[in-house]
Amino acid sequence: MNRGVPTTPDVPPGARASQREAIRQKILLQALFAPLPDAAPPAALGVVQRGARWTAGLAAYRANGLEHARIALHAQFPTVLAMLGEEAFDAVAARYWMTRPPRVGDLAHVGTDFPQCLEAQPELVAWPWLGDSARLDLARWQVLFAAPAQLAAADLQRLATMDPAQLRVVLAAGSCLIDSRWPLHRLWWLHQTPQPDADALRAALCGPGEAVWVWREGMLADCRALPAAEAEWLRALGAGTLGDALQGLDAAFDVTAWLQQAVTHGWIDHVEPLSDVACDADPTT
Amino acid sequence: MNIQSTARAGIGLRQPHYRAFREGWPSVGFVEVHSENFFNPHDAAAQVLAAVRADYAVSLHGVGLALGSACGLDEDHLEHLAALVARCQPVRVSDHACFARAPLGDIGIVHANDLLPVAFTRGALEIFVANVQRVQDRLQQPILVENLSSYLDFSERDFNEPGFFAELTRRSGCGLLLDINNLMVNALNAGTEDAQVTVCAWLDELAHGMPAAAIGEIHLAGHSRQQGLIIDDHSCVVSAPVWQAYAYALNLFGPLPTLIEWDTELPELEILLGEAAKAQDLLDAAEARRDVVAHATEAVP
Repeated sequence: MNRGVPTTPDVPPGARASQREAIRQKILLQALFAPLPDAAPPAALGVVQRGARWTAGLAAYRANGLEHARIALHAQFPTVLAMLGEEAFDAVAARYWMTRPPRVGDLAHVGTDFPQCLEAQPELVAWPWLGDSARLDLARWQVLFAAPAQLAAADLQRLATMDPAQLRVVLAAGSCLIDSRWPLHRLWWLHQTPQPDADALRAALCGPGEAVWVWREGMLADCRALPAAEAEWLRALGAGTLGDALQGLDAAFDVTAWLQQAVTHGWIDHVEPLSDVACDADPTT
Repeated sequence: MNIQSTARAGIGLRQPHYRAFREGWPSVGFVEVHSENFFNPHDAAAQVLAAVRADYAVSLHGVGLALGSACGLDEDHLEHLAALVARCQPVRVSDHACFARAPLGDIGIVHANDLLPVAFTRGALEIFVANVQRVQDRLQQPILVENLSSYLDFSERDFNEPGFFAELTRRSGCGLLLDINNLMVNALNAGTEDAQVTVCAWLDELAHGMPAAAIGEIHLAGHSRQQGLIIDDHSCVVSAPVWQAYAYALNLFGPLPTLIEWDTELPELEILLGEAAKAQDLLDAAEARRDVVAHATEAVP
């Protein structure tokens, strides 16, 4: 009994027994995420299996982890999958899993730094739009975890009656604007078919960068490329008061039409008076 | 503690079956879902679960609590589970007797997203008891902990596996989710001469150490052989030896809610329902035997 894992001196017996398990768990996790599997079990792990049986047992766990990564990342990054093809995508997914192991036990949230991982792969340097494409996929995935907008009649009443300088427009949770030096939406759209048109892709890559707006449309994610004025308007809404945003407005931009769309598509969560914001920020005032 | 409900057979409800299930509204005792797949209260799956819950008992079966992790639980994960339990009002909540969280180099705490094996030691028992109690305190209800299929095990042990679960249930107040396929997978991978005898001996040991009321649910599933190992992949029908071991367990413990698990290479819903019907036949037979025994006992002056 009690062979294998080293003991720690000066620790009460109950805690010592738990510490031994903590050490064992750490060793097994290291074996799972090691770049190459250990040919023999670390002595301190104290496993029964040896030789081929150890190799097969460890391989079963390592393969299961990689399969989880593959399935989860396929779901989260369908555009990147379409761009790279399954074989290349799975190779990057495996590298991602092994070098940036998950922190959470919910596979729906394991790909949060996959865009950075793609950008760090030397063999993908020739595909510099992959990172932003992954950001768009991730934004479309994550927006479905945000609560739908709660815009109410009282919010519209505030818009109609209050001084814009005293109002802040809070955009729907999860919605976001992605600025890219690549024609991000066009690339995304071209990859929505099983066989993307290669000529259209080549032509698209010569086009200008795009700002893409991502939002939740009912139970689905949606996105579209924004004209520069609309993108600037959204940035301004996110940065300050409605009054500030209106002041910097491009003359050609139709705020009323935008508001109608925003209400229809659920882009605004609520409209809050600055006095409320101030009260929230400092309950003593 | 008694967290059994009606002893009927249920099925795991997976996304490819949502439509067929909602069109047919089949007669099953309960529906099991993987908790983590329903943590998001705002997606379409949440709506499906709410609709199903209106007509069926739901058993929430988690894969991510990592109850045996020496570094403790992920409190965010537990909060998501608590919110789901509040929304869904499940008939049972369960997870596995595994660890998955541990520190890894400079990265900090990593979650392997797998059901990693634990040693049946006093140290592991202390860890489980603390973590299970934390979950039960938060959820305000007992949970079930499932025995694992494991591909590695440890020479160091203070308990045999049934003894470990007997102690865990006694000390924490949790119940056991008895996965008979996992027992068979372990027996086959251990290379025992007669795997079924090994499984039945395991069940006998459990019956000696733990009251039947502490077993809250039974799981049945298929397994497959892959690269020299039997893998618990829930990819096919329940094997004949597992059915026989199941019948043996019902003899020992009486009828218990029973789940047919099928997670990969999903068949048509009808096939899954057929497996559940087969389990229900065995449950009905066990129920009838129990009634006979009860009447006979009453007849004794």
